[in-house]
Amino acid sequence: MTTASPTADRTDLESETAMTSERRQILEMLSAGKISADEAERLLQLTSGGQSASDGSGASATASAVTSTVAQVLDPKFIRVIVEPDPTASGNHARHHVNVRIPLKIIRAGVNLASLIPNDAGNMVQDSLLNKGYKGDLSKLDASALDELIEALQELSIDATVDNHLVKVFVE
Amino acid sequence: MIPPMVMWIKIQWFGIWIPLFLLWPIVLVLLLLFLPLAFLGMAIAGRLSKFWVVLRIILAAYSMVCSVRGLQIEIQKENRTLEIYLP
Repeated sequence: MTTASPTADRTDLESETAMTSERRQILEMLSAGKISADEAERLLQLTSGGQSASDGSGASATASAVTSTVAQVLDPKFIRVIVEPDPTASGNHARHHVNVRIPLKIIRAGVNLASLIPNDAGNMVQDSLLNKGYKGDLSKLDASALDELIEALQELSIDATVDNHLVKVFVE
Repeated sequence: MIPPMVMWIKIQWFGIWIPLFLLWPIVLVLLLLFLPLAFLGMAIAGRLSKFWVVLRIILAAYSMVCSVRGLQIEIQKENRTLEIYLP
């Protein structure tokens, strides 16, 4: 007959408590609208995977994976743009593959750099952007607006079909 | 903040790792030579306030270079390929 040691029991209890805390955190994020239903499902699957693990180390490893995934969802680091040929499209068209990952830190650094541009040069940039169809005012983009922009980007997810190509834009 | 140390670039079939870490010491030496001269020149010209603007631009540019880490670009168009990666 085998009995679990007190240390093993305590480890299991700590892992279970951490898992419950993670599930609660995921549900709170979902209700607050910080993550989508798909992301919540993915995270909950990770936690349930940890609960089904037989040993405490597996559960705690999954809990830490969930924590890192939650942190990743709440604090995305990159914008990813993927363009792939639409497999359902017919016809002989050019097939392009694009995979671009842009660090979000570039946006903040770019705004800091842009704030140092002299007024004359800034006006020239603004005119050029207007000519290209961008009607925003770059001079109004400050640190607080930037924080709002980055926060809004966390919910960014675009799936579109353009010229027989699938275009996906999301943050990760 | 650490600038990217290497850069992978591939055009068509030709790919190469560029050792950027060799570039940064040279840039640092040039800056150390340039900044005192710029400071003196602007002090003599009575436009010392411009020096601080230059200094802020250099720091912002350095921050921009550091933030490029993680950038990944892969473009394939028929037989043409372009890859850029800054780990």
